[in-house]
Amino acid sequence: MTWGPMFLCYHCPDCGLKFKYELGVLNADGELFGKCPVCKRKGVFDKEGPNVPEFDEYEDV
Amino acid sequence: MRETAFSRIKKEQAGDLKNKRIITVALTGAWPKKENNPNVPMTPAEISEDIYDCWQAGAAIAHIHMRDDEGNGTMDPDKFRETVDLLRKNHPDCDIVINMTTSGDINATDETRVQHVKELKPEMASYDCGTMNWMNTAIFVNSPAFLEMCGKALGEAGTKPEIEAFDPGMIGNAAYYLKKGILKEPLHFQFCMGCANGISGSAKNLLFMKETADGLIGKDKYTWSCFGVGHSAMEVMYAGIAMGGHIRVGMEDNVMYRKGQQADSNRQFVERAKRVIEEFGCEAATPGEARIILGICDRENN
Repeated sequence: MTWGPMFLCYHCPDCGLKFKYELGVLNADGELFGKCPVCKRKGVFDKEGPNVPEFDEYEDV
Repeated sequence: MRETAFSRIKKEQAGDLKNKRIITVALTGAWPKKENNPNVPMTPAEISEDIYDCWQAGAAIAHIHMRDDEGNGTMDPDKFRETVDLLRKNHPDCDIVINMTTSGDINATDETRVQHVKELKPEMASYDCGTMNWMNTAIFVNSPAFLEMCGKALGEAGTKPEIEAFDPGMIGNAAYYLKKGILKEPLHFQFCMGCANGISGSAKNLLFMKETADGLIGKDKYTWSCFGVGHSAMEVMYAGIAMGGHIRVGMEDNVMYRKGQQADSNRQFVERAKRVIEEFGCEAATPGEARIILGICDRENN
């Protein structure tokens, strides 16, 4: 049984961008994990879970 | 399994099996619903038709989960029975290996998780070889008592376990149950890569899983398949094929075909897997060849 990938959703405290990271890329992204892809600021954690429709507003980094 | 005249003949007909790679399609799983991907099959009718479609595309094994009328995972034997009956009735030509989950409902009791295996005696069933945190929200319990009971139940039913290993510790568990006589050689592993709370998905980690199995079980004394969840799906597929393994695809593990693109169907996944296998210079195994490779060649279809 698997539940597909798990995502952590954030918003940027500077530009307000909503973005999400798949937990599976934690190794590859390293220090960039959780940071705004535009501002490179550490994102504010919003929520987590499998990729459900309410996560669609978050850009998949 | 003792070799019979039947199995010897089948082996001869199958030819060189070293070049054959088994595609397992995991069509439904316990999680995705139509809101995640409208193409995920959920009812017995949808699942049975999708199994046939994927068999036509090159899948040799169908790993199946059932859903209740609300779309939630269920271990109801009647649902499994109805799905297989529909497949046999509507598509008697389909000889795909049926592999039933024993982990379709995270809240199911131990007994509920094997009742359908006892009643229906499928050729294969999953055997999740250890307890782990699940999606950082729950615990996926596979206690020692359950693993002993489940291993014995599968053995008594003549059902081959698909040993799902989410981390190297579970390979160690499988080795323990093999030495204790609960599991029988040859083992078949499904390395589940990239699931939250399990080993992360990468070629490097897949190699580590295989080397762990080589050391604990014995090189060439087991068969193995693999899949990666999410971003790791294609890396694990390519690495698995290159390393000589078999592969699993399907919406249980990934509802996205690629980043930003929902999968149209499970068939789409199977077709891609077959292309990758063939580009590598191998061939997708037929169900008959898969039975010989996995040592279940003397079973009648369930």
